[in-house]
Amino acid sequence: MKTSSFGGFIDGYKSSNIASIEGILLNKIGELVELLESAKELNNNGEEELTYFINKSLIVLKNKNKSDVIDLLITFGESLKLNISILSRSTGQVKEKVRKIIYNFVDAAKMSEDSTLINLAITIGSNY
Amino acid sequence: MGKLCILIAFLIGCTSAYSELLSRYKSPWQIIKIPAGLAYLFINGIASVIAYILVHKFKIADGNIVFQTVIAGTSALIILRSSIANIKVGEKTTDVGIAAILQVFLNAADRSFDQIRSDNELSKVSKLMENVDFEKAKLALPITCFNSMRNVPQDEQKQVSSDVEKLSKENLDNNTKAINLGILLAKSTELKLLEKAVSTLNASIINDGNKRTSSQQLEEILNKLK
Repeated sequence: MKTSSFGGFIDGYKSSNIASIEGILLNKIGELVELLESAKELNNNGEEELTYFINKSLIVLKNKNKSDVIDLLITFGESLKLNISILSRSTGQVKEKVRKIIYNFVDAAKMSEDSTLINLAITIGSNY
Repeated sequence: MGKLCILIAFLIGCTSAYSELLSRYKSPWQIIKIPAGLAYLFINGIASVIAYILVHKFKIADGNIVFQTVIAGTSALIILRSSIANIKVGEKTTDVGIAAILQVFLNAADRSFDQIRSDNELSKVSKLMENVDFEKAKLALPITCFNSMRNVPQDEQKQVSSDVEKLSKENLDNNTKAINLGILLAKSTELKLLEKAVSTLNASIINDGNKRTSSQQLEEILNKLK
């Protein structure tokens, strides 16, 4: 099988980038989980769609079977994008948690330098 | 016939030395323009000639001129690269033997070649990359360059990617990073290909002051959310 003529560069760039920031991204995921759990408590008896989003996000982010931290964040980001209108309607302390969740997600995307994550973050941040 | 064999032995020595220098510098014509490089070729050639004379004098493989010539050419190369001991001085290990003498010429050739190349390339690369946006070009330009070539080893590509990633994280302005990206790529791909790649990608990697990069957009979003 013929080797890719530029595969070495891509693989090297991605793996060295991920290796250096994997720990930081895992911490970010931990922070997102804490914020989501906090938002869930504050939203108790609140908006159903928001509760559904939070529960689904917690399942995604706590998924230890997924080894690629970028994949985890992309899945979470896609869900965030789909539910941005619901999140924008939140009020009070829940709104504050939502703002921090989005902030942490955008920050994680910036650190990852992954183009899919970055595009997601720009879309979410622009629409919030 | 004797003179022809001496010439062939000389050429074997020179060719082997030339291929050694070519693996280091990748620029065929520059090697013969550097005095130290020429001296390196000459020493290897002369050593092969001396070896041939000795092989002939001591009648090794007598009667088989071709074999004598090959033995002379190759044995000289081995002897020139031999050392009788390795001495550690501080943290540096030094060869003791004929290899140490050859190393002097090799080091001088290295320095000369680096000097010539950096003189030639720095001003050209600076001019080429002055309008390039590092953030836009850091993946697009290396990928385009490597994809245009057929034989850049994967290990070399990975080394370049590691250097680009480190450069990306440094606290330098966009222009400095872009120039250094150009210097990095010129080492692997030659300047002409880099010029072609920049010209081909043009609009997608040029620093357009009116258009915000992804990094700038993310920074604005983060500031808004703080």
